[in-house]
Amino acid sequence: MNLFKMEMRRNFRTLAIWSAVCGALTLLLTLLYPAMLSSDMLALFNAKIASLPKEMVDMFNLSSEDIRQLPQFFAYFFQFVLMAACVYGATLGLSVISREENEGTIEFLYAKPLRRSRIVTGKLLSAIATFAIYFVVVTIGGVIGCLAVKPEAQDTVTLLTAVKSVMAGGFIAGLTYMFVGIALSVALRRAKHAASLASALFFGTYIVGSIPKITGVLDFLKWISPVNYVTPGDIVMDGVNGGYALILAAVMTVAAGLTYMAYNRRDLMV
Amino acid sequence: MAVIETENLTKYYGKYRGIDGVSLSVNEGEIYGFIGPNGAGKSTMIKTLLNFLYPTGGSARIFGLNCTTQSHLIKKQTAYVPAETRFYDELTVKDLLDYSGRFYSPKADADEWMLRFDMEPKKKIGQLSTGNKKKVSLAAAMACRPKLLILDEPTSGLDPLVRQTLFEALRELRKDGCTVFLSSHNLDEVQSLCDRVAIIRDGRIADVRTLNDLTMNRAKKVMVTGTKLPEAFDGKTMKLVSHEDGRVVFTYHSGDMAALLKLLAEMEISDFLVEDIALSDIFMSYYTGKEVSQ
Repeated sequence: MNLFKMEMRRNFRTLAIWSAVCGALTLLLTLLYPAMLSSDMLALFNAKIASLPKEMVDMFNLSSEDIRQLPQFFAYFFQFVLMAACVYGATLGLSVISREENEGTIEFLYAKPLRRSRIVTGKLLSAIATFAIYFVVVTIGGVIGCLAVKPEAQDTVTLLTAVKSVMAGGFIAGLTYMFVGIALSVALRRAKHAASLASALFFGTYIVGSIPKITGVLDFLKWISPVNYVTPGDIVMDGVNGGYALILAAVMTVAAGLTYMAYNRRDLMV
Repeated sequence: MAVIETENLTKYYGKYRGIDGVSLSVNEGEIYGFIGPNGAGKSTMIKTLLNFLYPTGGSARIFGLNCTTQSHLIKKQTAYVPAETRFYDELTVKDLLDYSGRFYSPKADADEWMLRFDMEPKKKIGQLSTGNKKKVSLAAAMACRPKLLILDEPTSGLDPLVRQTLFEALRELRKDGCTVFLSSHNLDEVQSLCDRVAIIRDGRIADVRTLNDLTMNRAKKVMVTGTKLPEAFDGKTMKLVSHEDGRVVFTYHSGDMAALLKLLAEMEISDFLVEDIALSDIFMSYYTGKEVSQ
């Protein structure tokens, strides 16, 4: 608990920045919904999208046919917030252990009467809690925005269920990046520049996962990117796919297992 | 009773040697010096004892517990002060010491040590000088009432007053039965504090000596200016160092002082000086690998 509290304290500043930026972004983008309903704006928007290369539209799910409905509109723009969330998740994962090694403070912690597995557990739990708080703030931004612009005809329960499902999917995807990031940081032995590595991890898997959309072949590659398991547009229509969620949970379990194994066997890097 | 016991303890970093076949035994309540040149393996030894590093061979036990598999139990009674202190810069001294103390049961209270080392509890770690950070590290270590204290260059960065406070504290700890494993380049502090000294060179223990032994059996260095100076020495009890311009320097390796006085009486002396060979010279000989004159 001592370690957990300290980790939460150390995560606070970046958590506050990421939560404030992404929460505000979610809120502001939701508030754009009434403007998007006007036929002029919609026509302009569709024209802009139509002018983009088809591959780009497919890669970033920019097709805009359903955004006149609020849940679909929310899902449409949230996929961009989701990208930021996944990068944050990966950054948290990559830095939670390697940060202390890079700063040299791990020597202090290793000298304490703690099993190595307890160090990993404390750090892992704090990273999960930090990411959960971040997602709660983003969800609050989304809910406030949706309720503020909700048309009278829109059923509130349906709307909030859609928001909740989209957020749950995003949380699972981001958490997957976080677990993979932790395993990578231990495997790489010295993971400096967590933010750059996190971006490389996210966009690397995102681009590889988009190859089938662009080329129409190698369909299996789409499963490389956790984002493709929780596409907001699909979740709004069908909810979170239980099978996909289980696959991502399995990835997280394997990553966590590898983290514990590797960390228990490694030499201290200072 | 041995507090630290290693047998053929070996650590290689790939093909590079850290320590190679180190066997030593540190007794309860002694201050054990551990000296050697840079790269000799001192830090590797300490980090292997604390399970920061996994040994590639041999074994190490502290309090009879396996250093690799029971390290967390060993650390309940062992404190460590690293050569370089790196803490969480955003914390205050008090917060850091509280955080450190909460890892122990009952909580280690560092208030007494903050007073003794004259520390500023509200100052942030990031604002502290190297010496003040070292004081925080020492206070955190002392506060957990260790039965074994492992110190790596503990006085680097400390002013003479704090150094004195530290030495007093170490002597008090020893009186209470605490064992101290002291790695240092400061030969004076090793000389003034330690009961025994192990010298490590090229990853291997070159020698283990008691300070008493070194002090009692130290050779004398004799410098004589005058005439009728001896031209040759036996090479056993007396070894010539230099002989030029009416001045001879030789080392005398016998406890028989009467024989030395008799020898001096045979010379026509205008000036002379007899002194112990400094312990630092003896230690230095281990550093450089040259023969020890003692």
